[in-house]
Amino acid sequence: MRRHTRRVYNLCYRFTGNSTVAEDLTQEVLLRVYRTIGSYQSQYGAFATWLTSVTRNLLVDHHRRTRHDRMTDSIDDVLPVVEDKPSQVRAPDRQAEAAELSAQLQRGLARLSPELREAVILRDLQGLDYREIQTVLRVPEGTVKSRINRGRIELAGILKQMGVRPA
Amino acid sequence: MDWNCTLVEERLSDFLEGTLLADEQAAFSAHRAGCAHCSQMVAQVDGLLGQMHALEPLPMPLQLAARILTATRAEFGGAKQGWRGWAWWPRWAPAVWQPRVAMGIATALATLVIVLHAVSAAPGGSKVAQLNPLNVLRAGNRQVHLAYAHTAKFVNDLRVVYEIEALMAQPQAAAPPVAPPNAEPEQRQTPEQESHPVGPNPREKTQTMPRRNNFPAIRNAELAMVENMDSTDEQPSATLRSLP
Repeated sequence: MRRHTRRVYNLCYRFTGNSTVAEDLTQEVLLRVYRTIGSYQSQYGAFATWLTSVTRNLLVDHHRRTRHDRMTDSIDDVLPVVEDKPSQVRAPDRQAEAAELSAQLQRGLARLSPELREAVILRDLQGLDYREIQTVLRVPEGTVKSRINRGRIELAGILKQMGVRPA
Repeated sequence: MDWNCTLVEERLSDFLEGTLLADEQAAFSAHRAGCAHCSQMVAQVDGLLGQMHALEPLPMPLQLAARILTATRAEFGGAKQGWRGWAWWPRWAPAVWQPRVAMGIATALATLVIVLHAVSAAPGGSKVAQLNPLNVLRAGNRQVHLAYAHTAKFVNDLRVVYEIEALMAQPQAAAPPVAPPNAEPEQRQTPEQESHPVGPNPREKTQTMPRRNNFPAIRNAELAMVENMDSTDEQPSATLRSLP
């Protein structure tokens, strides 16, 4: 349960960029899973894929609900301040670098369109294969590949503009 | 085929994931080597993938698990206080109705009934000493022998009845040694045939079948009845009533 919860939380956080919202959405996802666990059938795919589909549907609903709020606020003013700091105060250099990279990546993801963002997150941060992403997004495999490719190129360009050097 | 920048950009992920064919890979590499823009783009995306794949998942907030558990109990814990429908019915109950389980239960119950019956049927009434395994064994043995004796007696009685029925249905032609020389056995009829003179006798088939008579008393009664039928008009049932 803890592993799945962490996975859902990561997906919610990477998509929304807000830890409080991600916690609320994670709780809502798990409650929805408990309510609808009877509808899950293994023939439709792995449980993790089904869980990702439930999470993604909730994220889409949340994205539509908060569209008006995002239009009134400047996204650049909101996103840079939402990154969680690591719990260790005296973190080693590598952990500090990873945390900094994670924050920069989060800012870059926030600038992507929702379609490209979710495709990149599912593929490169959640580790789903193309077939699973096709199941979650309910789009053809060619569309999945196209979105992932364009999302990667755009994200690399955004990070370059932000001054992030490639590894 | 020479690739342009647009085609390289479209197939960038395929190149980085190694899914291009050999000739496509060669064309991609040839264009990349001669195009600074595409070369820089490939390096950036390749570095980005390396960074993202190396990222550890974010730690889950400590209070999140407890918060979810609390919310789950609040929503699903209260539902258990009300009517639970058939939830009280144990989940293994349907398995009882499987044929194997039902047969096993029936066999165990039958065994229990037999043992209890044997114990209660033992002489001396119900005492604690009857629960002695030796006494239980003796009582059970007695019951089995009694049941066997009853069954054997019933089978023997049934056999006698069948013999008598076959004897009554037997025509007089079946007894030529005791028939008088001037008699016409073909015209004689059994009492049943006399009561139903028209139509074939349904028991005639049994007359053609070989009969086994292992009972001397029956054989003697049969001969006596045939004699009575030949000498007098008396009904054979009178002879049968004299049978032991």
